[in-house]
Amino acid sequence: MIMLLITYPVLAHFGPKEGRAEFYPFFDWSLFTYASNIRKDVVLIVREIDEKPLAEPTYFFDMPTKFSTAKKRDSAFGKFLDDYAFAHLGGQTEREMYLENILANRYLSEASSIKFDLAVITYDPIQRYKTGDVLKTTTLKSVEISK
Amino acid sequence: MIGSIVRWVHRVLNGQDQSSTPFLKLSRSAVGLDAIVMAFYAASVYLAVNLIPQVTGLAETANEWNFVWVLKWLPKGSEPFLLEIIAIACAVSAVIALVARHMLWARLAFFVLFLFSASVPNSVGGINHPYHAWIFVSFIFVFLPNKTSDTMDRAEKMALATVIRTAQSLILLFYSMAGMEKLYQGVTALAEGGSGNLSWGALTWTLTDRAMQTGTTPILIDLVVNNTWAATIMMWGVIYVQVVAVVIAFRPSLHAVWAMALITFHLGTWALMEIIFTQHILLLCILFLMRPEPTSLRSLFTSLRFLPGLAFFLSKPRSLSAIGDTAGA
Repeated sequence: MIMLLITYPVLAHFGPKEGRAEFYPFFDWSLFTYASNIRKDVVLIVREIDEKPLAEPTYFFDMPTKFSTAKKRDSAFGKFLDDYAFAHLGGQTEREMYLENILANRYLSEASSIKFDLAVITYDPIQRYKTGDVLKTTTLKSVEISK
Repeated sequence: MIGSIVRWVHRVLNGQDQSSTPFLKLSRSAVGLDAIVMAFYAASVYLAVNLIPQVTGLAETANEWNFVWVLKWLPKGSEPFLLEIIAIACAVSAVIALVARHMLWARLAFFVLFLFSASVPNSVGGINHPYHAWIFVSFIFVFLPNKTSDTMDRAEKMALATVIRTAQSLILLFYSMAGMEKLYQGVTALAEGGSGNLSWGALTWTLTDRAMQTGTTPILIDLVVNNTWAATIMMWGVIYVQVVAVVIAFRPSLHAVWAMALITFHLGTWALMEIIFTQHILLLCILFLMRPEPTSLRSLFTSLRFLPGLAFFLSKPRSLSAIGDTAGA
């Protein structure tokens, strides 16, 4: 019993993660660990779908009628975006392309072609909750996918 | 010397809670512990059956997978067929494990198939955590004695108690890990002069951030966001309940109280964030609240004297009694 109580946290924190958030299934149970009045989040900002530019750039999750993932607001997609951004920022090209392939064929499958920005938004959570405003948007890369 | 250290650690962990006597009255406790095992596998049937449509739906709609290592062996192209078979086999194995829980192969088969089945929802993008604890408890239960409770000898009954206690400890460790991460972040932020979990109203930032990410308006969120004192008390309370959870594993008097506190926490995360950990609530009920005798309100209150960090203030000091005795001499 004691060995398990010692082994589990060691594997959870130091196990091989291979580009993922955890050494599955040894999770470190870091959930909502960070609280701050300034937060960042990785988002997709969609600019064009099926070769038709949108009236204005729109957050992916604000398109529930077009994308089923946006309708479900699946938190796993948010984590997937974090992995995608992490791979891009870390220069892990092969993993980035692998994840982009999954993004195109699973999460954005409703569109035959799409242009979007992978971006990081910085915001005050309470201000964003009450007014929708963000403090800053930093574009990591612009992507065009055609199938 | 080692014996002294072990006895000191034991005293710190159980905080004078003398109810930690898992190896006394084994015959009586073995029946109750077997009931816990039965309840776990019965609940496993429910979870495994519920996974069938989830796994099948993912397998049929997926055109790209991000398999966790557990499922990387699947031949490409075979996923829809094999995954549905695995999900159905998992449900069958749960039923078999329920009726033949004294057989090692039944418990092992369920663990392996549940690991496969529960890994499917985690192989389409990010990893969510509703089934992690269940996977580990099913693994720990592989080590149950291979006998029915009425045929176990003393050593096997002790083994049964130890396995259950291990499962309890691991679940509580998960909560302690979560709490310690929050506490560490909170202390670090304060030391750096920034804002963190221990800051006034910190919970409101977390709640509103989550609401924006999910596009939801949980039922109590506005009440808490507009009353930062309530948010602060809740956050500090959650951190305490979580951080000391693993110590509670060694204080059986507090098992029921802590299980109810953690269940309240989970219901609170639904009311404030629309996150529900159904599987954890089930595990807390099975591992900590299944008792042959009903828990009285009085016993709940008297067990509070074993609260970690507070037991010193709530326990009757023996030295004062001694002073009273000598003063009268």
